[in-house]
Amino acid sequence: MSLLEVDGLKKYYRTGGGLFSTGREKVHAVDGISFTLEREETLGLVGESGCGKSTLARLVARLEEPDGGRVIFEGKDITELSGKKLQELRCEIQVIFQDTYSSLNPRLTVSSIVGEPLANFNMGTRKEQKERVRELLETVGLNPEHAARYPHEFSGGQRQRIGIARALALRPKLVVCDEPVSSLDVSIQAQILNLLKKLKQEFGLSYLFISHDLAAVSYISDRVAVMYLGRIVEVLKSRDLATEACHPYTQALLAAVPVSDPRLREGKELIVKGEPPDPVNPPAGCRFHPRCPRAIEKCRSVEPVLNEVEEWHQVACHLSC
Amino acid sequence: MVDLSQTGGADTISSKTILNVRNLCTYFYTRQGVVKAVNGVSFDVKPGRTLAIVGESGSGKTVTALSLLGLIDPPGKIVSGEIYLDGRNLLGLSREELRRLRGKDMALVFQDPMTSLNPVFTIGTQITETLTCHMGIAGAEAKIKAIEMLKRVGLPHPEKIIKRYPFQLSGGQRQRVMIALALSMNPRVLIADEPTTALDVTVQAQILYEMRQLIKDCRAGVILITHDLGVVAELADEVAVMYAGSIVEYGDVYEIFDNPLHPYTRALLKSIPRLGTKDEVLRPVQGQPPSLIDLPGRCAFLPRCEHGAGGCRAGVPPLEEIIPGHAVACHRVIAAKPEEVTLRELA
Repeated sequence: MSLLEVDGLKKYYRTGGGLFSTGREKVHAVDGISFTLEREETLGLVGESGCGKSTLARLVARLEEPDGGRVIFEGKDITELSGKKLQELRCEIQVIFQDTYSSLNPRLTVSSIVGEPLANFNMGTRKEQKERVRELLETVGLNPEHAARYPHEFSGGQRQRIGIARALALRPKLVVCDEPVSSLDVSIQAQILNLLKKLKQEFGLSYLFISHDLAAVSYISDRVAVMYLGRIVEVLKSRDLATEACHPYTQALLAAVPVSDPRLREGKELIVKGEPPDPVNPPAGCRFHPRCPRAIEKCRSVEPVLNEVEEWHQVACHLSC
Repeated sequence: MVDLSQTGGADTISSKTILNVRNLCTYFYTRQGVVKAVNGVSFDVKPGRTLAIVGESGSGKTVTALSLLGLIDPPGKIVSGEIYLDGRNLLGLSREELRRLRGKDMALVFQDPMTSLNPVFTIGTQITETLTCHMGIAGAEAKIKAIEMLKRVGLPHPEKIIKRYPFQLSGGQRQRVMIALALSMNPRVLIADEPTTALDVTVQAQILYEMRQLIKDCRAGVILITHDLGVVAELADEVAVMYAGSIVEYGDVYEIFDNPLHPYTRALLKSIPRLGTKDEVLRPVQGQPPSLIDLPGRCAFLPRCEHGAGGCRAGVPPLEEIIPGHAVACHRVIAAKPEEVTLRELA
């Protein structure tokens, strides 16, 4: 049994909520997504901004109500959970956010922030909670002596460590990481990526790791899912990403990653031009066809489905390799 | 030192420089103390060449750029140094003279195009205003020029774009407008401060590709400020690595990537994840950058340095040319013989 199973998940947002709007326009943020996440696996989710990856994260963590589809966690359908049952789920699934400025309460001390989940769930006595906070801060590489400080006294990387400590407080099984390193300096990014890797091994965690940085995703993930306009277009093992990726969009993303050596920049060519189309009116057929360099007639009318081309490798493309 | 008598009107010979910065110091006088944001920085910019200034947040790269443009406001102050644009010292100019120079001779592209474009004017108005102000072109002629500029940066349907407001454009389109605006004056120096950091990889790749062409065509000297070594590898000709307000390594881009000498540069290169090297463990730079108040009288990188030794406490290391065209500020590298250094004996 997989830890997490997502089946045909959908989320639409109404737009143009103005006075004269008909309210009929919908942003197809997540439009029929299915995938599984195994125990102690890290699934990376990449895509351009607006492709729906953060919405998907929020749906999985039940921070957002889906408009269709199911989320199954440890064999239980959690899509309809509410009240006490939903609260219990929070012990199992936790989130690490991108923006450490808005996700940490500036008026609370670090020990209150990290201890809040423990207090909410009455985990042990006050003294035990305090001890657990110290232990958590140490685990994420912060000095427990600093527990009485406020978030603004810490640098970006340290603040992200506070966010990680809070997410781990309840010993969750799944941690949804929504762009956890995107706003950090390169040298600090590597520290956080390594910390997340270490914690995963130590506590047997599973991650849903969302990022637009292909290199970071492939470094931390076991498998990578590529999203485009609310759909998954390819899922494959991250060690195969650079060599086996066969969806033209995945290839375009790979080609867009800046070179690691200036000698490689000569003769580099652009595969895709332009920007993703408006998710209010996604193109008919394959959503990528207007930007696809290899599109054929069929792509304009028939939407491809996610097909297994080999074990652990699924592609949604009519040309699939 | 550069012979300044040669620098005037030298836009055809690439070996001559447009902009020379010598020993620039910009400090901020705050209640907590003096923040030495830029502390003795020197570099040259040549026409058609791109100098990348790389460093972490707080290393002083943006303050360096703002100092060049005379945009340092109190409590900040340029304490000392010289900035020569075509042989003319900018630090001796009046506010009005500097204002005329900004946008025309020296243009700036910011990281966030949403806040640097005026939200209540159309794109067309903003470009034609600049053209009128600096070049005296107005009316239909300015409009034609504006459309032409937008076409040059790869924007589709420029005649429609000029009628739009910034919020109607995507981040990538706005950044293209900023680049068009910056290049419309044929500036001598273009300063690009994290021009692609806020953009998606696919859009970043397109903008970098176009910038490379545009820089080649317009022969401006470019200062590229970034924390992303990938962007450096895509665009730079020369690299200056900044740490705690000083340049710690300076050299040709190929040399910096092939043969990084300063432990900080090496650490930075080792800390970026690369595609297809999954089993390689990232080696992050441990610790945090130092506070710029009360910088110690020794190498500022020492607390984070893997190779630190007792000798590193002997004063702030000077930026010394170790190999022709490759300078480094590290006591250990300077003390070692260059041949040993190139053999990566320190790695």
